[in-house]
Amino acid sequence: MSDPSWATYWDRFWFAPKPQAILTIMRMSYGTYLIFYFWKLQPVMEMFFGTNGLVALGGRFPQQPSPVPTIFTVLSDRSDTVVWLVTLLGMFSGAILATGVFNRVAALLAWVCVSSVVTAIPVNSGDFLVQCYAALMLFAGLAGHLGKPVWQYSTGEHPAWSLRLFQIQIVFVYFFSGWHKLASNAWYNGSAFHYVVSQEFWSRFNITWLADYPVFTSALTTFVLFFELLLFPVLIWLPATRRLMLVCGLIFHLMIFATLKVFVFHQIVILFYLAFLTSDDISQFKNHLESVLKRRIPILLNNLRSCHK
Amino acid sequence: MRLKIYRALLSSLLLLHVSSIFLNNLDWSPFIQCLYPYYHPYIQWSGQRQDWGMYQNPDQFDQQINYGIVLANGVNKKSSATLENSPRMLYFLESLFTQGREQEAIVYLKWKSTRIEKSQPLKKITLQQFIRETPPPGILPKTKEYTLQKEYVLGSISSTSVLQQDQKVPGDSRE
Repeated sequence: MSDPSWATYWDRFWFAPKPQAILTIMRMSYGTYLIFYFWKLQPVMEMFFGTNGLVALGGRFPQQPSPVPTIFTVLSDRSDTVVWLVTLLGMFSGAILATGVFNRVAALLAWVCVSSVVTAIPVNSGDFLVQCYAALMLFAGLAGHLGKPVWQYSTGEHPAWSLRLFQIQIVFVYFFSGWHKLASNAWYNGSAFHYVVSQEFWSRFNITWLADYPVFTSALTTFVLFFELLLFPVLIWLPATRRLMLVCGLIFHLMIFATLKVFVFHQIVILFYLAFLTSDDISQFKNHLESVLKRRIPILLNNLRSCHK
Repeated sequence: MRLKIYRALLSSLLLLHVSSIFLNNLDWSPFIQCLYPYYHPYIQWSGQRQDWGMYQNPDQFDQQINYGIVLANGVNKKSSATLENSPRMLYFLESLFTQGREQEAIVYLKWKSTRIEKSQPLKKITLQQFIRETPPPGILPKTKEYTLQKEYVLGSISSTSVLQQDQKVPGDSRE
């Protein structure tokens, strides 16, 4: 028997059946996240595009105008009403995406709202990643891969490609983040974290004392570089190391989130991690949850009964 | 047969998508310049800009951004923008300094001046960036003091309109 050809590998990678439950979980998580995302953005949008906002006062935002139309350019009226319209529309798109009704329209609406905001206001890498997620959700939605409404349990399968696009995107984020860091002396000579921890401006609390431990900061710099360039992009694809990479990544992002004033990026990266879940993970989690509930609920009921007595 | 055609078509689109985001991740070069017109419209219109240079060049200094206000009765007040604002706002305020966006900084000060609780009319409002150099590992800092790096000033403010703006930008720009 001959070895499988490249075409077979290609087909297996992109078109092997994947459980619909994974994209359903991603859709629900992203939809819920968008509700908070737009709610948190409302004051910022009002500052830029509100009735008495920076644009109304003569500011030039966005700095480099984009030919891509946004809700703000289509409704050229700069007012609090338009800001609230975008906010509520964004939150609404998140809500219907989370519930799973009209998945195609919901994904399209979410993409329009996210793109409008990310194109119009000053944003960072985290916002770009939220926009990428919206575009990939749209592709999956248009292909009908986003599962059924929340009251109908999704049990079907779909070709892997829509999930693969999320996986490839997050691997590119890590790899190219490491790739660009290599061009910097501070990363190459191991001093980058020394400078990062020395910035009280960007720290949630004082961690400047870490700068007194150059062995620690340089080891951390080297580890982050290797994690981004090599460990995550390679080991995430191997079944034996997939969970380890996800746990390492989770700890890595939670640590940064707890110590540095970074916004949006860590939350959205964790939503990308969901693309690496397998049906085993989901059934194991479900079984674990069921056994915990079975054990806890009788105890809780007993406690309640004894309280009443 | 139909499935084969469908898969071949979808495979081509997937290949184009992955190639486009891959190329968009690379730094500018004659090679990228040559391909840019072909992949960039897709990236731009689908909203998949790739910009993952987070902490690529960590600042070798710490900074503080402060507001300074002078009331009509001559009272001076200072407050920390670092403590008052969310990380997203700090990112915006920092960019006003690092990108040298004087016009937007003055507009921001106009906006800010209408949102400050004050007992007297406002005479002047400033946005100041102070920095302190971070020495390389193993070298003790020369000083713990922060020095003024850049300042935007909006002066002679009436309660409803801005009569005059002046702007000072001392020191070197850090772009």
